[in-house]
Amino acid sequence: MKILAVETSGSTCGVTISNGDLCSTIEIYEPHQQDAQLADCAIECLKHAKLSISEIDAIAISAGPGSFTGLRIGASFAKGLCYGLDLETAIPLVPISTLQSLADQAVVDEFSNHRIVATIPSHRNLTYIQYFDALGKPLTEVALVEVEKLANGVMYGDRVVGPGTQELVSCLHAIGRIIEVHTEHSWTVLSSRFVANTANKQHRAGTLVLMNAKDFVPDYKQEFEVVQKNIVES
Amino acid sequence: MATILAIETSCDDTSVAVVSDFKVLSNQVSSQTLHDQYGGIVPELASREHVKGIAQIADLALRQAHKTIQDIDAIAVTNGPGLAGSLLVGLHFAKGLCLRYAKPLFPINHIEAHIYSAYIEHSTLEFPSICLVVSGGHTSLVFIRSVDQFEIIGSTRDDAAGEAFDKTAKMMGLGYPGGPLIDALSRTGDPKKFHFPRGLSGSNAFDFSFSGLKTAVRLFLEKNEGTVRKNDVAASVQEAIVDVLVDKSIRAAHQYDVKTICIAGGVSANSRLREKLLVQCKRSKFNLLLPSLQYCVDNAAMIGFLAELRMQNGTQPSSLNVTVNPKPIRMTS
Ligand SMILES: Nc1ncnc2c1ncn2[C@@H]1O[C@H](COP(=O)(O)OP(=O)(O)OP(=O)(O)O)[C@@H](O)[C@H]1O
Repeated sequence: MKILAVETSGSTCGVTISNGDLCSTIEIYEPHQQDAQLADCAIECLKHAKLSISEIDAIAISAGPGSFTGLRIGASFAKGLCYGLDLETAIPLVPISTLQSLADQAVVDEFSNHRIVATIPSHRNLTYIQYFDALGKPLTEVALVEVEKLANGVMYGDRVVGPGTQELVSCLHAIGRIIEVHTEHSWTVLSSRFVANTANKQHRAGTLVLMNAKDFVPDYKQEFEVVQKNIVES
Repeated sequence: MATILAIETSCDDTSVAVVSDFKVLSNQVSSQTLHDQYGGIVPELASREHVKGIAQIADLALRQAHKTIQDIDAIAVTNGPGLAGSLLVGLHFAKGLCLRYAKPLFPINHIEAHIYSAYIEHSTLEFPSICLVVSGGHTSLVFIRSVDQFEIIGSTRDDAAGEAFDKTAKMMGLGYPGGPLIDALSRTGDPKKFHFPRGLSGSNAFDFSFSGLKTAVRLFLEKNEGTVRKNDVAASVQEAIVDVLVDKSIRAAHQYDVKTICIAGGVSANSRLREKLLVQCKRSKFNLLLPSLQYCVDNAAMIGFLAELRMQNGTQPSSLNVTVNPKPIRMTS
């Protein structure tokens, strides 16, 4: 199955094409690049994979949680890519939980029994967090918590992944919980490779969810609370 | 001759249109009503609504036009000015479509599209002309030379005309948006009952100012509220706004020696503005282009129309790394 995966939910702007294995990735790890670079990343990535967009079977997208704007850039772009007036011409969309894509990266081997803690920073000192078992099966729902609270919850041996890692480790030090957690540099970014990887894993397991892109909305995980300063007079 | 799919998501309306050979085949507009309860637009909610509905609205536009996406020659999209989050949705949907179907992309400036929108319903392009752009965010007089040359000869120094309507309506406790409400109330009011200031009307320049009017209305209401008829106040306020708009437009047409005046933007829906312009243009023998209401408000048809004009004129498509440009630019071209 040929999948084009898009990651724009944070400060990564990336596209990966995979055909079971990863074929090509074009990715920029720098904030505020998505508006200008996302389409070019996709064009380049297709070129390297020697594929045309019409040969792609599904578009996988990092569905959130994450930056509201980033999620929308990815979602709108994917809706354009998938677009067809009817289902025959449309390319199906595969929404992938961003936290799941991070967790699947940290699955090392089936004999490990360490938990995986996936973290994505939100606004102020809040972080999205979800716990997984060593094989990447969710143990909890996604929660939005203060970093301090999160730091009190991690345990010895946990594998911490995601862009919230650094903040969490600093916080552990700050509150004097000097415990050993596993981190790896390559686990702290967001990547379209992870999105493609999770889509492939789900495909192999027969759990891949294909949907009509027209009906997709990002998983914002937060109802937007309107306060006066958010209102512009028109 | 080309067939264009046009997308407009600059503010709180999601709109997709199909324009072919300068004819509007469809112009779907989905207006977001969820903002009404807040008395203004909530950008985050507006962006969420755009994402939710954009593809379905494209379906409606294509179906109504009896076209498939393969029939489309180019994609046009508003890339500014407007709300950044809203613009990003339309632009990236457009980029995705362009990549998928190998179509050229034409980013269009929203205000420029408004400027040329009066020509949608007039097959002959009468240039040069004077265009009065009056919307919620803009009030300008534009001297249009050609399809891609125009000059802003005057703009508001403070509030836009639409804001003047909306803010005075708010002071009168009428609700939002105030323009249509004042328009409706005025029909049964006396426009000469009270006198409100006509900002910068004595000046020869083409700039506008509505802040003095706003203050005058506030002071007037503080003193007289409850003892005067709202309809008379509304009609008198409207008259003050309309008078300056009409006077300056006519004066600009004389000074720039044009034969045609056109209007654009949401406030050009105002019935008194249309009525007075019509009378004045007849008197001075100017041609008046009054767009129908669907083209006065935000709509994708005007985006597609301007894109086709530009294509015909030799404008090259943009690469897909074009970005949104939310801030209004000072336009002299
Ligand atoms: N009949 C009317 N009389 C006066 N004003 C009106 C009338 N109908 C609409 N308006 C005003 O038009 C404005 C909305 O116009 P429009 O939708 O073109 O502007 P906008 O999208 O808010 O701003 P912009 O296009 O400058 O970004 C509002 O201020 C509204 O009160």
